Amino acid sequence: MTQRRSEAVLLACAITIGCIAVVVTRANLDVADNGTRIGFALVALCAVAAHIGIRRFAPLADPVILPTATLLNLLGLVMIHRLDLADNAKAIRQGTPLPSPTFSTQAAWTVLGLSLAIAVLLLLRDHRQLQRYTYTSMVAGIVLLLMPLLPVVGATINGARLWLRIGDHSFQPGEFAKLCLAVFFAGFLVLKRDSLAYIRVRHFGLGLPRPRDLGPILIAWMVSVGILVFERDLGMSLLFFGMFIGVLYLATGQRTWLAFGAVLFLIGATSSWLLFSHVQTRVAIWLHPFQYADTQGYQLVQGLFGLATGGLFGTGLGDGFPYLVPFAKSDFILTSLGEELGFVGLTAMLMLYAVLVQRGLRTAVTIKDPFGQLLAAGLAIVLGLQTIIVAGGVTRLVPLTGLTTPLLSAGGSSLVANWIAIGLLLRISDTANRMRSES
Amino acid sequence: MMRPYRRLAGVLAVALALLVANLSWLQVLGAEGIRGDESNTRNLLQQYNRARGPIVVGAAPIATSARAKSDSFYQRSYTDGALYASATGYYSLLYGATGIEASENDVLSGTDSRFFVDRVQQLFAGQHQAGGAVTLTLSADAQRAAFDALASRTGAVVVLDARTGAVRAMVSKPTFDPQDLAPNDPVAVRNAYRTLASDPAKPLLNRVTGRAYPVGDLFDVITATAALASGSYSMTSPVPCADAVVALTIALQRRCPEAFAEIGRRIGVDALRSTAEQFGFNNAFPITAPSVASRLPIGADPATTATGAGVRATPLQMALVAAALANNGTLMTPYLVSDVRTPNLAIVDAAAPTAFGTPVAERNAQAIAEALQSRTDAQLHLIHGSGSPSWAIAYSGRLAIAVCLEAANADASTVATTVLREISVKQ
Repeated sequence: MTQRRSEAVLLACAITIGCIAVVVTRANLDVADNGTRIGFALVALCAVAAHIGIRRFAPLADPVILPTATLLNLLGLVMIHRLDLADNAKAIRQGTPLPSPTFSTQAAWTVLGLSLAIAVLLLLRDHRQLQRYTYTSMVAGIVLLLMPLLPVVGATINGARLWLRIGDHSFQPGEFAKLCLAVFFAGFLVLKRDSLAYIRVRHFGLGLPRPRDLGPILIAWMVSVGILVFERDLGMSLLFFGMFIGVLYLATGQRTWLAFGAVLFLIGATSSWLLFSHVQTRVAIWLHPFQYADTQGYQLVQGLFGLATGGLFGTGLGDGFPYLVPFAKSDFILTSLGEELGFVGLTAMLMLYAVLVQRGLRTAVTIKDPFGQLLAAGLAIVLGLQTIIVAGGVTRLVPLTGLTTPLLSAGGSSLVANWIAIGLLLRISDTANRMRSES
Repeated sequence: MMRPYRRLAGVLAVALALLVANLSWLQVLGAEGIRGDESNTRNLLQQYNRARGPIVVGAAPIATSARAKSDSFYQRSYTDGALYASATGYYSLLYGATGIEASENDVLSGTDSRFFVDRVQQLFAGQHQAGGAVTLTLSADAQRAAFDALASRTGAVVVLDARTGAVRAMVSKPTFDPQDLAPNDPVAVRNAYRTLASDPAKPLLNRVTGRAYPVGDLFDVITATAALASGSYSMTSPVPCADAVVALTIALQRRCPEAFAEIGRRIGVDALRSTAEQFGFNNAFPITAPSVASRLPIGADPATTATGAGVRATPLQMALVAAALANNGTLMTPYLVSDVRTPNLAIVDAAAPTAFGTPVAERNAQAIAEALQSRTDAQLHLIHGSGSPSWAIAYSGRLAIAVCLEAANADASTVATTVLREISVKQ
């Protein structure tokens, strides 16, 4: 059982790092109260419980995934707590009532996420069971994607209509749609990959796949364009399209699909830029952020200032000014961490994401059945692509989108959905390793 | 089967590399440019949270930073702000800094490389970066004497210790109170600055080091030195004076412009410039910020230059001339900072007097001074300049002084005498 022992060691390291981060933050901000200690302790305990759950239900699962995801989650919690403290200080200075801490909700969602990850391990003994629900997942995924368009419960937050608001709480069904569509893409491509790869009908000298094979691909493209048009979010549409093309490429092994996807993306991107003002705004801010420093570009510019102020080693947890960036707890949590942990810290965190993606792809390569391969790969791709899009957006490498940073951002739907995905990866990796050791 | 996965991993790796490269630009290579943007308020906020080091005169701090509570902002306070303003300058979050606050900013803000060990200690002790202490060479008594003697006149007084080069007093009037520009309230500071900046009397200008005035016939000292140094003249050489021909020493006593013009023609402008530079001309002594160099006119006729026409010098420069004469011809480099200490008050650097050069041969120094001086006093040697602005340089014992007053009928000599007497009494 050396895998579980490695996992235990790594998890201990992750929790230690999280503890040090909390202690440093509170020391730098001269905080004395005990409130959040319970929250952090609870999360740490839950992570340990998850480790025990993995020992029980998926003993051969990849040992790196849980500690890495836990560390990212803990760092996110530390930064959210730090920002809560800044909010409190501001409220005290202004004499307004103390706002309710985002940390508590995020910690609660973390506990729920970890529990659901273990529930996945408990309930889903074989990932191939999901293959039965391929088309159900497709429907569920599309429904979840379209739900924000509903009249009463659908809501536009920050310009993007991606949310459902029920009472005081808001959810992002799109995050769960990611999981459903990952299952759908995997299942669909297992069935169709041979016909997509090899069956060609000659049109005007050019060999193209049959319409009935191409159909779903074009539907997928149109759905993502639909998200862009009706829900006004560049990121989500790019994410889905990217996930699909990536898995399609892996399924068929043909690079032409990547090229095809790139062409479709360019067509979609250019037309959306030509047609939609909100896309034009985003591109304008991306190209000339400082011209819009006081208006729409304020968030991006403040984020850039924060990163530059952080420098190589950062200002230190609690010593920076991440709270100057709007939505520092969610959209721009990467710049908050970049400001206080510096280039070194932020690059280390990007490496953590890279490790997660790599473990996912490794699982995909180890597992023998094609559904498992494509599902693991799809989940890894979506995690990697989302991180790249978000990190690129806040650092002005690509235009800003409304995507959340997986595991870091304050936001229940994203956190829970990502933990379920982690649970799936753990399950698939357990099966993969078991089959490998048996053969 | 593996290849597509490898390729995809490769694509993601390339994307990661691009992200890291972009980040390295934002946070490391190009960080200074981005961070320095004026709309980045973080720079301001960082200063609010830092304990700036004190500026000390004698044993007492004249500028300190303290904060009321542990989460409020640090506030700079000045004791006798107006008295020391010419040396300390101001420190304002909106308008930057001048004077010692600017030239020793690295020490005062704690970022000086000499504090590296202390910063590491602070890191482990969990303290925030504190600034180091700067001790000035000023003497509180001398500064007060100069300040009071200058009264409400417009001009500058600077007193040096001729044997070491230490600046004992420097006052520029009209002056300001740096406390007016120190508060954390941007509105108050903006109003105060606007008032000061729009005042036609220019209280923010440091006339000691920041303005070069026409020297006029005070330049005679340099011309006389150059004459003797050239070897073409001795104290008894015949020179024209009015309509007569007299010995050089008499011409110096009478301050005859014809004599100096003749000297200038004979020795040439290069000799004049060379001697002037040995006295410190064309050199902006950076004892504080801002400081300008004193200059000879370029391409002018040596005869007119020798009489001082077109020559501009700062009061500090002329004090150096006096100091050279006081110190038997050896000029010491002026300095205002006597030591620099860590936040824990351990000395990391102490100034050591260094010689700038020997502009005047020892045997000539006293002769020139006695010839040019306008007072018959065993201890106090004073040379005045006529015209506007009113100049006077003097020395007594080891103290050298320069006074420059802008007003038309001002009397710099009186001021110089008063100050030196005052200081000598206290010592």
